[in-house]
Amino acid sequence: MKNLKIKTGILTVGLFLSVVSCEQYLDINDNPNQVEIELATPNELLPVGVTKTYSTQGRSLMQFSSVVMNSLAGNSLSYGAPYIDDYKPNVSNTFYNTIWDGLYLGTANFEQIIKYNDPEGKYAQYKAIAKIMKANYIQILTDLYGDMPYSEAFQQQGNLSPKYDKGENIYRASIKDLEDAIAIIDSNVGDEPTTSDIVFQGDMTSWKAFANTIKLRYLLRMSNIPSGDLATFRDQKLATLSGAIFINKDVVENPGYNSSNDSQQNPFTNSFVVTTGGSRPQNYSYNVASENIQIILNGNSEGDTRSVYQKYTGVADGRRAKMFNLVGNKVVGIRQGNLPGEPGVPAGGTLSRFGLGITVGPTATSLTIANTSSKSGVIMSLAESKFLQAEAALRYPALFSNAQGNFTAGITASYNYLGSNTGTLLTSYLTGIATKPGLGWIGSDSNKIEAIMTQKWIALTGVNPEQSYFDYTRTGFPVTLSSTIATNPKPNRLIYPLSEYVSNASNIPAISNTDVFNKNQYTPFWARN
Amino acid sequence: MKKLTTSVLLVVLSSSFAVVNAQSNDSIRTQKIEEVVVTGALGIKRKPDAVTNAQQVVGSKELNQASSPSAVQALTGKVSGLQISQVDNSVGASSRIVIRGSKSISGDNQALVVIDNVISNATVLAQLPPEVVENINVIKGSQGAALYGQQGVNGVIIVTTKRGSKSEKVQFTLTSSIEMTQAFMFPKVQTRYGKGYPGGGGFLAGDVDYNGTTYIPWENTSWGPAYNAPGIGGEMVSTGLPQADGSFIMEKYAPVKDHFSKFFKNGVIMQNGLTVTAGGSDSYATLSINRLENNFVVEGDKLRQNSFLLKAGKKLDKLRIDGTVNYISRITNQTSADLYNDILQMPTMNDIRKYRDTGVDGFLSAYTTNPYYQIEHNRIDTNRDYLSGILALQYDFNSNINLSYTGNLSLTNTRQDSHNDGFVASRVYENSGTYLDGGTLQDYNGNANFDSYYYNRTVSSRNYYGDLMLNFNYDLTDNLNLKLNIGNNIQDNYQTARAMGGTGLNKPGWYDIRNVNNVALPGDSAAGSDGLGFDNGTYRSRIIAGFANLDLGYKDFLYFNSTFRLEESSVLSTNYDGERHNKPYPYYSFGLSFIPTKAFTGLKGNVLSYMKIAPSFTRVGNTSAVPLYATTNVAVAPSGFPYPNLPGYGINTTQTFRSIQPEFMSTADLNVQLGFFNDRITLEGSVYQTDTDNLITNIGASTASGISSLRSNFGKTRMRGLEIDLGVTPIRTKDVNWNFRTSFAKSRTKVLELADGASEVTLALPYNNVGIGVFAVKGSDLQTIKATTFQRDDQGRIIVGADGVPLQNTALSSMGRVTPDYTLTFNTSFRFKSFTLSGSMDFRKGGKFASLAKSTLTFAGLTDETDFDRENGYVVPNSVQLVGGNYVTNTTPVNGAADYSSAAAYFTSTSLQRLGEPMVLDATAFKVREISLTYDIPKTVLSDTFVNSFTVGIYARNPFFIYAKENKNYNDPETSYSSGNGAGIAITGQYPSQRSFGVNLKATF
Repeated sequence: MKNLKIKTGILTVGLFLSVVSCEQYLDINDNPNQVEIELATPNELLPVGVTKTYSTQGRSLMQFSSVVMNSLAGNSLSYGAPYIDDYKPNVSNTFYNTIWDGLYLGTANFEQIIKYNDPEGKYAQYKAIAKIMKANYIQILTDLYGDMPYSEAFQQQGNLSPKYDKGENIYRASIKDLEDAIAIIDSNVGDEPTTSDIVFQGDMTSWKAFANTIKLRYLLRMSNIPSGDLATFRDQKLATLSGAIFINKDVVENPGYNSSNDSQQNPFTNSFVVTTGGSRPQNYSYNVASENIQIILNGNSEGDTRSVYQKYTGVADGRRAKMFNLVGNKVVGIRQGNLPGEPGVPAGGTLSRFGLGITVGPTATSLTIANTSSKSGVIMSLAESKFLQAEAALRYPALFSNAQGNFTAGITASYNYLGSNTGTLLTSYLTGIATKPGLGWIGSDSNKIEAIMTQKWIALTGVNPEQSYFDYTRTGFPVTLSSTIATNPKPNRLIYPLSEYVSNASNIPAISNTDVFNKNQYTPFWARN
Repeated sequence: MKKLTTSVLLVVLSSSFAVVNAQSNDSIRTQKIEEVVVTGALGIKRKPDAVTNAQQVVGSKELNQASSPSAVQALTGKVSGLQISQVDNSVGASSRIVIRGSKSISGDNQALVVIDNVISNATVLAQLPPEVVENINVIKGSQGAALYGQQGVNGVIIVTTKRGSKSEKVQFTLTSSIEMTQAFMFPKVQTRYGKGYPGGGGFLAGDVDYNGTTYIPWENTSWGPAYNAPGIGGEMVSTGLPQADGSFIMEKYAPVKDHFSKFFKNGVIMQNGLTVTAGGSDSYATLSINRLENNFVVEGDKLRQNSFLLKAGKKLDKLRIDGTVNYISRITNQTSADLYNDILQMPTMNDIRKYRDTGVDGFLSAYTTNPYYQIEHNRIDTNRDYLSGILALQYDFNSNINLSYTGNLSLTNTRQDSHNDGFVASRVYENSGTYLDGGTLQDYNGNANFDSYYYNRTVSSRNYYGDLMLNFNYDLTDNLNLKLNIGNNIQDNYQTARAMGGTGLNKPGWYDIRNVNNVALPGDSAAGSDGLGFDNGTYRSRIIAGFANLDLGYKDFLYFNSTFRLEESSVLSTNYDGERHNKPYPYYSFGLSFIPTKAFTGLKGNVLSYMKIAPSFTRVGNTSAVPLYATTNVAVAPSGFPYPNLPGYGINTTQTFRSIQPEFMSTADLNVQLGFFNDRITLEGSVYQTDTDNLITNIGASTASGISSLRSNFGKTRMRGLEIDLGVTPIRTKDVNWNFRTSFAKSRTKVLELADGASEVTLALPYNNVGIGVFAVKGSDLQTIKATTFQRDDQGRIIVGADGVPLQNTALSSMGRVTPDYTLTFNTSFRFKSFTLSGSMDFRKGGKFASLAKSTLTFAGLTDETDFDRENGYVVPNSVQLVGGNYVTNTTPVNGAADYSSAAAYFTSTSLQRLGEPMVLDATAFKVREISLTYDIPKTVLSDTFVNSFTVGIYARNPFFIYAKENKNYNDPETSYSSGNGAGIAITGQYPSQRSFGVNLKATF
């Protein structure tokens, strides 16, 4: 028995010890399939941030803005009652809620660059770029949602339910970020980015110009504020931009989009044009030109008597062939809200959809899967930059000049982008609009503002229509018809997304679905007056 | 007591013989309760008296009474508290096995499956031929599973396969069954209105208006003329897309009876098996070969399975050796179940069989894809090989001490090829006189073409499981017996997954990676247009544990059991601040079993023949909620990266807290068993409560934080329930024997606490723009269905806007819990001479589930809700409008006009399709699971043949179901799109339930 007791004692202890000395055996939990986030450097994070944010900008944001600004309509010939929620409009927390989610999750990558532990300043230029890109998308977010998380945002595991900041404070902080970024660029510290900068390929001068342009956009957005701290702040900051250089080319991003598989296509192409296998995605057949843009681009050739179209009469837009595929030499669209058999809906046949200028580029003569898949995504167009400068010169002539020159340059930039600047198309268009108040540079200041906004809307269709939506909320121009089944006016903002109601409910302001149609404390601060 | 040791061994050997007679006395306790021996955790055998927790044994005969091809499904409805839900209804479907109820939000709530003393999994159990199973012991109480540590936290199903005979004569057993299966429980649809949609757009010559709507031959929805409309009702009409010569298929404009069922055929399942056993006084050998062939109710879907089981054992002096080799090969060919979504939208006038050869561009609708085309061109082939070897050794030092080792190595290899030939519309419609002329289907629809693709996936795994135990058995005194087991357990899992493929096949018909134009990147986990995932990775995990088990027995009426296990898992190992961090966790349990009828001899009498009281307490942890490698915060290369020459990494939006701990479950359990009238009536009751703390949940984070969810320890849940089993043997004579068993089970889990500020955790949200999901709600149930709802006034009336369209709430509201109020099972067996009739049925009351099929059917105008006078428009019933600050009864038809097209626009609107409230239905269901009638040919007839016994029978499985009144067969309440904790939402790509009728026979010689 004694021997047995010792044997069993040893065995027992041995068996238990085996648990303790097994650290090595169990140390196999490092993920062999992925790399740790601390090892991801800013040059690897930057293209991800840029492509992820553009992916939302070029898809759900593009879709929302195009429909609300009446350049696209749902194809009611093939789909029973399309876009009901957009046409009513019925704004809720599932109405384009992916815009918030996509932009915040994408922008978090810029924040990761800004926070990257870089004691020697090797990545300082990357941080400047990240601040500029963050400011760009933060503005889009706060223009859509008003008050939202900012100072407590992007802390990942550190804060899962960040508090909401006021829109005006977000504007102030973002403008400061832009100024900090410009200072870093001027200081020349750190490595210059190369291929990982998929926007400007390391050309920091262009980044500085882009930062100035975004700053100008922030400040012009506040143009309606009559007086008070914010007005003073705006005027102060505008003065710093006097004489600054603004971006002089289209700001596009392209990581190497190609047609080898769906996930490497330009996301706009994959959603609106064609997939790599050659089939048409749902958004292709669902979306067609609206009757609104049809009448406008055709120069009201059918003689529509509604007052909003009168200024276009007789001036067909030379860009229309590149903006939409023409049917019988005209743009053919559907009136938003109407069903087959009702006015504004063609009886059948082909409808106009985005044309080669929007889906491929200026020099393309036909669409191939390769050329449309590799198209760059537009973050900000040259046309927008020029129109911003034109508006700045019109509103603040003491600080900025050449309003009319920039106005014309904006239209020209749009023609160039689409590849329509051939023959006399541009010159005859410019001549035609020169006598139309609200379309060309003529008439009162209010007419000219209307002209800028109208031309901007045409130029940004299929490119960055969200900026036109913000212009409309701010200025009321271009006057845009609602759908025929509308029971509400156009919303001045979106409702916070379902994900916020599920995870951050205690911080959300008590906004109701109908508050988006009136001016109140939930309206973006720059549109409350 | 020494005598008891050896007699226990003998009883074990004898009860596992494949002898027909003994099997009639299995789980339905017809014999004295204490004569059976039960196998518990880690193979430790005990008398039922010594078992200190609730468990139930299902024997081979009851398991096989209806020749179910899957051992998992054969258990359905036979054990109280055991819920087996079939996750989907395709060929080779999977099941979800939960004992008593779900306790964990993010962890796995499914029971552990142990086959022949080694840990296995439910997939292997589903493929094990039920014929080779000797018995299944379902251990419901946590205390019985505590020896398995964290893997046993949800209960254990212990499966023992047949061993072999002691007789030296070779014995053969032949089993065979053949059955016919058919799909049934199709949704009930309205038969008043047929195919079409308002607005015309069909024939160039013009479309006739039938009270506000038109008939369009290729429409997929049923918003068309009434079937009794003059001019079209009962007439032969052109229907579908134009055929090649511009003509149309003609069908009568009248509803086809049971039109959904026309697509499905009668399936056939055949099972055949042969078992050969031989043995001696100290050895045995068994070989079992089984083949299963399942031709499914969908054409072209089939399953073939071959399995081989070889078991042998021998006792050499002091050493006992047992070995098992098991090989199962399963081949499945099927098409994608998504085709059912297209079938659900079909108007009632169409007989789909007429469109078998028309292809996509001649189908009955321009907006859905021809399922026959999909059957031919969209295929998934899966080959699964499973090879497992078990070696069990036992060395007896003397009669009190032995050392035993059980080791298992299993290899699984699954290869899957999935392809779709795609479709490009090329036929230009001509001379049809419709708006289609001059173009292809793609020109008209813009969405008809779809990509071709090919994917090949391989998953290989190698699992090792080993138990080394030192076992003691001493009689300390004449009355007190001590058994002690001390042991060590090591588990090692190694799995690799490889996937390759892409979209765009160059040469049609050649399904190979070299033929793919757009190859998916290996790291692109979002690839896989067939919806089956795309995984390239290596996965390793290990567990080491030391454990001890103590059994004390005092005389024959008082038993005490205690277990302890110290376990460390690689899943919690993290590496930060330059150091490794991990630690082992202890789990323990205590149980007592007291039999008053044996303690107090006066208590036992003619009425009360047996009484046992068994309380127990268990504390176990669970790390299944921590996925492998989750504690490392990784950088994720998003979809598309790396681009050519451009690497990129982004933040991982679903992170796990790096110092995460296991969840801990404390269970208090009381089990009482009573036997009356010499055990002719048995009553067993269990009452239990499990508190889970340190609950691991995924907290949905505000996306403004940069991540969308974090997994950590927040929260507490409490599960409470009870089970009552009543077994009665009213008649027990030589010629007639009738027994039945019925049970009542109820289990409810409440969420007591969650992380600060969180009021709920999302368990399942299938679509981010459809307002339906399953959530764990603080202060309420663990599995609660929430949905977006109509706005209602304080009297419950729906509030509509100025246009008559109901207003919807933004936030999700709770619609009720998924788990039922209670479940009842009923099992019976009636034997008259050589005939035996048995049946098994169950009833679940209450609980809710979401049916997305109902939403699709409402969109298509087929549900009863859409059966109203459509030409007069639709006024939402019981609705009110806000007029001048007050709610007045609403008279405005939807979309403002009292006509058909406004009503149709409302029901087809995306906002109604995305509303969750109409999808939630009562999950009450009554199901008759099995009915079987067998005839044992009497021994006297066989006495001079070489056949020892011969049984022939007929049976039915799932013959009869009844659902709640509001669930008009939209979906089976048991199905779910996920076998995880988000069960409760049935999507449209799931076939209807199937029932089968067959004959079987079994012969031994």
